[in-house]
Amino acid sequence: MEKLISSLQLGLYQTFILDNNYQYFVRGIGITLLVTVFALILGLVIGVIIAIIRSAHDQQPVNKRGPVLKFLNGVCKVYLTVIRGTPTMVQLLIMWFVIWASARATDSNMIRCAILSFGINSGAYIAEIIRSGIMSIDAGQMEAGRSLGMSYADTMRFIIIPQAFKNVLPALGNEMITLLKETSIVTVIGLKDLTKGAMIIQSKTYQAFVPFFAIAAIYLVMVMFLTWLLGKLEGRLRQSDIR
Amino acid sequence: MIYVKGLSKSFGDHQVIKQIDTHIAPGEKVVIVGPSGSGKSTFLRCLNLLEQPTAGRIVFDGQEITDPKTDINKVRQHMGMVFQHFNLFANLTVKDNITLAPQRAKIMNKSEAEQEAMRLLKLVNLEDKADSYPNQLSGGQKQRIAIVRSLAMKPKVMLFDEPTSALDPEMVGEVLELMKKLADEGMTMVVVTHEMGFAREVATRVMFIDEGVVMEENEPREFFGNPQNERLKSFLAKVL
Amino acid sequence: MKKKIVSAVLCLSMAAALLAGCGSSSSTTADTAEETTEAETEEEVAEEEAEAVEETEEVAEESEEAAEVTTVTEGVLTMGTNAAFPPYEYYDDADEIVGIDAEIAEALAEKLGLTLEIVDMDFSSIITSVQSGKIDVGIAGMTVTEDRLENVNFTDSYATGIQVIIVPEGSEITSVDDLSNEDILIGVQEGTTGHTYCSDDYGEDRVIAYTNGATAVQALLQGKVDCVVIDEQPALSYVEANEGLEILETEYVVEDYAIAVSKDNEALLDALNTALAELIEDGTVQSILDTYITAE
Repeated sequence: MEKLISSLQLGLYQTFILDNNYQYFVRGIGITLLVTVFALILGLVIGVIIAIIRSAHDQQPVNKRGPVLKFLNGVCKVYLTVIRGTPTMVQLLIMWFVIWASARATDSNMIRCAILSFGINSGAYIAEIIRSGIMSIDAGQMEAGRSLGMSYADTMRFIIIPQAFKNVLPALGNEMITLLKETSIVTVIGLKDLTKGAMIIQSKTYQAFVPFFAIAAIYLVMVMFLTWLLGKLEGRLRQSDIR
Repeated sequence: MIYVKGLSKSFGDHQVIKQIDTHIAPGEKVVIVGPSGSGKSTFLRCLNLLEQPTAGRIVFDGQEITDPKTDINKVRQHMGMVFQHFNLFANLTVKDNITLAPQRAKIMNKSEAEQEAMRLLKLVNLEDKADSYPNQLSGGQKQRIAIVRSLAMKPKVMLFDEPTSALDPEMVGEVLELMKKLADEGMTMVVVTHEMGFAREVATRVMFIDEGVVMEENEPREFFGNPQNERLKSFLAKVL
Repeated sequence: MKKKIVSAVLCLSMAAALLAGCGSSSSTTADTAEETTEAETEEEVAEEEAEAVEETEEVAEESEEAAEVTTVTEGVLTMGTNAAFPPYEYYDDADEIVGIDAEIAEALAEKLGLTLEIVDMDFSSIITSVQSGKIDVGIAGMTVTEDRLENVNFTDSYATGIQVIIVPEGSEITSVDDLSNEDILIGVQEGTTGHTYCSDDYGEDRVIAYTNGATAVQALLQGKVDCVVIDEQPALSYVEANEGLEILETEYVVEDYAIAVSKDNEALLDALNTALAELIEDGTVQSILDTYITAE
């Protein structure tokens, strides 16, 4: 027992105090959050655009689908299939070592690559989430908007999307949590995120227990914070449901 | 005001509207009756192109709206529509429900739209509900707001698609009251309804549609007092 | 006497199995015994005891060779390595892990009467795995460092490793000194001594760690990093396989390769050292090195 405590003490010391190792965690959290937040924003933008194209295509009568809409819908379908059908890590590797082969391995380049990869990846999932939200809205809402002379785009923007967004918030929250945790694979391109921080400490000190439990706890706290934040947001959006 | 020529509509192999020709003149109040599934709602929804007609032409205010080149959004700004299930925007307050479309159409700026909304709400005695959300209202209140939402666009014609069918009986009166008021002010109206009392009292012309065809139309006294068509006779026997 | 030893060995192996089972890193009874003897400060006592210990050790050694060493899996020597480090360890065309380390391990296992099993893992996990008793030995072109010695034991050295600097031909980097330039990005393999030294020397920001050497070289080829600090032997293979790369003449650092063994398994360490000495003596190690390293 005493031995266990002293080895734990050594672990804590080597993991956090020695060589100012705690800074790996601090900087790692920063990078993990940065990548997550911007990837999420990018994913939302891509997701909403694709969801609108896909549902516009599906809601339009067959004879009124223009060639442009058909083409865009086709592109979206290919995108969804490819992105959802290949591992995120492979996408990241392709983005860094093939598509953006010329990039120097500076932190800012690696962060940009990670944001782009995760944003594009997340966009595919968010698109389907939002599309399911759009489909869940009563057709009468669209008809009412159109009958007042509002355009399809305006009705989408002011009526359908806000309601769809509220309905899919829990599913979006799930996607955010997945994204936050999945960013840990950026280690393969050498970006020093939270997970990489723990790995570096492990390779320096040969301690596994403390560094990995530490980042597990940090990820957990971040996810719990995110969940709390989403709960707040949901509460505010549910205002229109109060009777 | 609205010329309908050879209007047909099919869903797949099923032809719902068969070659309807009619003309709705300014100031007219046309009430359409008929058994359910007769195509009367579809006919109404074709008038503002919520349903795309399979064949035929519709000319509104001198403009052929069935022409693909017509900006249908502009046309619809002048054709109000009231739905059976109200279809108030669930995410917006009552006031925003009314002010959104006029602002987007650039007919009014924000303060004008809000003034107009409050004027209309006062008209239906619901000004205290301006900041409520639709699901905090009763069915009758919702439908009255749906009507004034359409009125805010200053339409030339109002289309009503069974506006009282989804209401509890005690709320039907308040909605019909408002519609009568509109009729008295000279609004051109096309109303699909089962309220025969309303047809008798308000209509300038009653139209009986069955199996996608206008079987009979007449001014209300003749229509109800002296029906010619056998189907209309049996229909009236059931509903009156 | 014989009975006693057998039961002692049994006890030890049971303890080891238990420890391995719960992944703890506390020492075995043998270890503690040694610590207590060391703790005795009185010189005379120590001397006397030393003699006694020597005697018992001799007995123990003999008996160990007779009763075999304890390993994670009975009869098997489990070796952890990172098979992306030619010519020390890499996958051949038949998808098997081969290389200097693999062959030396094979020879060692044969000497100890064990079968060899190779486990491929991240380099940075090898020491932790040895420590927690997931594998018996770590043989991965691993350099002995003070940090590592705190966590595991090392055998005698079986080869000399040199950390060199790979650069693209015509690079502005011409010597180790040029690495101090603030604009230079250095690629390394995660957890290698090159990684540690470079991080200490040039700071974490400019050192980009990749999970294996091949990826680091890939990044170099694409200009993501300006140079790669890595062991000489794999470096030679990489430079041969990829046009336009060269190795700087000045070495970054020179170091000895050894085998990592758990601190809880002194018996295995001793047995390995004995076997290794024999293999070096009879020329086996040299001939393995010669097979893989073509003299320039």
